[in-house]
Amino acid sequence: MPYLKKVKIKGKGYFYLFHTVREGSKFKKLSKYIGKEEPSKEELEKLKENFLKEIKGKVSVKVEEKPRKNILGELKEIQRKHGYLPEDEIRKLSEEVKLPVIEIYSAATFYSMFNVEKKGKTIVRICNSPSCYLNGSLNILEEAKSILGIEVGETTKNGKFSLELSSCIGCCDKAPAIMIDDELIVDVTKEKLKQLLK
Amino acid sequence: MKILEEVNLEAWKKVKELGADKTMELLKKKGLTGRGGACFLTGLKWEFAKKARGNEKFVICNADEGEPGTFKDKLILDNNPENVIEGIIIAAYCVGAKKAYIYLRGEYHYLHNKLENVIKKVLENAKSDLKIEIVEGAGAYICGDETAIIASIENRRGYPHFKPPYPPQEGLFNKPTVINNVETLANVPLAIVNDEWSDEVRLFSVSGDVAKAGVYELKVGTKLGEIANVAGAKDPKAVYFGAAGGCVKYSDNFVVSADKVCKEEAMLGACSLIFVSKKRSMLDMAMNIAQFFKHESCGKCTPCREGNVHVLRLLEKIKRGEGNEDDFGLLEKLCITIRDTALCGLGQSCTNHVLTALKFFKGDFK
Repeated sequence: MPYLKKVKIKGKGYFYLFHTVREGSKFKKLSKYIGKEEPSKEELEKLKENFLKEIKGKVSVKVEEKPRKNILGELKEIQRKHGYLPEDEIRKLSEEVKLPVIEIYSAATFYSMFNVEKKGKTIVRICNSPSCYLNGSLNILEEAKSILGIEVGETTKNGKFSLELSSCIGCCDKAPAIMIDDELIVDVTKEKLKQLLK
Repeated sequence: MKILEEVNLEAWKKVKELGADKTMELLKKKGLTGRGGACFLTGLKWEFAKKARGNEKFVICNADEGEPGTFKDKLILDNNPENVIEGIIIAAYCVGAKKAYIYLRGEYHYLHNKLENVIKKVLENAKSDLKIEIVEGAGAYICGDETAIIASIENRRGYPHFKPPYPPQEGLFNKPTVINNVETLANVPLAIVNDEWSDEVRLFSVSGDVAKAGVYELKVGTKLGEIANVAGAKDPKAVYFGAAGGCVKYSDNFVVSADKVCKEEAMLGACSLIFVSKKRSMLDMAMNIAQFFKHESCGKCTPCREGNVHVLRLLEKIKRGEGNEDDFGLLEKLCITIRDTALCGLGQSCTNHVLTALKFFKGDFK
């Protein structure tokens, strides 16, 4: 409900009606000047009623809802197809789902599985969380480095493989485990790795 | 395993006879608590969501188990997804939701198609008009936090936000939302149908320096010695409860229950046990876990984002042999500050492992 408040400006008192409305996720304070003298109770009721009528049309209570389609699946598809998220694909997606490009970038760059820069065709992720670490993930990492001839975060010259360290991939019971693109590979040994990274 | 018993929609039939209120009453009486780690009464959570005002409500199944050493949800989704879907249907019926989401972690992509088929089949058999959508995460540990899941489904960066408002009041798209762990939802139909069902029986993910790593169904209150025995632990010295839970000193008679673990200033969480054998240095473990948290801190709040960088830096300094008594003091102070000032559950628990390791194994750090 609107409420009356005396506002002091340069020592003089002025009466205003205030009303707070919610517009989407933001709050808006609306005001109307009444006069220098305090209105009587009956007058005040009328003024309040008129004030509410005035602002009724101006404030849109209904929020324009954002499209609810989740884009993680689409982004994954693009990542799978290109090995990274090319700019023009993101622009296309932005038009499709009616989301600003910046919002898609903002979401995409949060996740470790998405790359906005070009990477190798196949991404090898070596899990180095406690259970895998205790079962020799560092040996597997060294082996992968020497097979591919690159360091963590790099891509082979022929653009075939990128090497990354990863957080737990949920295969602690069959450690050490690695992930090659979408595929989980468990109980990794050096021999197995040689076969996989041919 | 009891969790893999098939219910074949028996519970759903019973729920329809009982009605929503009586079902939630029953779940509260049976004492079903959340299995994600927070142990909140499931029936009560549903009640909050049911009572909350909103023209639309949602149910989210949290299948984003990113905690190192935890892989119980994978086992359930692999072997008995039917129960989980039935649990979702019952949850949606009780709170009055028309749409449910399964937030599946990206690493479990291979389960996606299988789940899709099971959803179709179960919904058809249950004659339910609920819509269940699978949203696949993309490798962010923080998205296991309920408020971060909401952000992720809403296409925002997966940042958690301050609670309250709690999701049952204001969750996905600002509507009342129930978020339950996979194991919790799988237990819902079992708790409703089986008379002898008990909340004490849980899934323990056991891994690390053990011969037979895997998921074991045990009672809360089992002794560590027993678990070490079945899993074939080799000379255990410490047990980590996931990465975030911190560690305790191994002893045969240590009782694994939430309050006993809490007494040692660790956290039982989702019952994941990582055994560490005597030949390991706890400093190396601490560095490994600190690297994990440095990488997985989402970057929203300063204590966690900056603090974890410095925790790792100090541990590296100690590892190089350059640490002095001041550094230990600083490390401890830093860890406590992060714990007390971080915004979300991840930030508040990310230094438990250093604090508990310093408490029990200070010798390893020198």
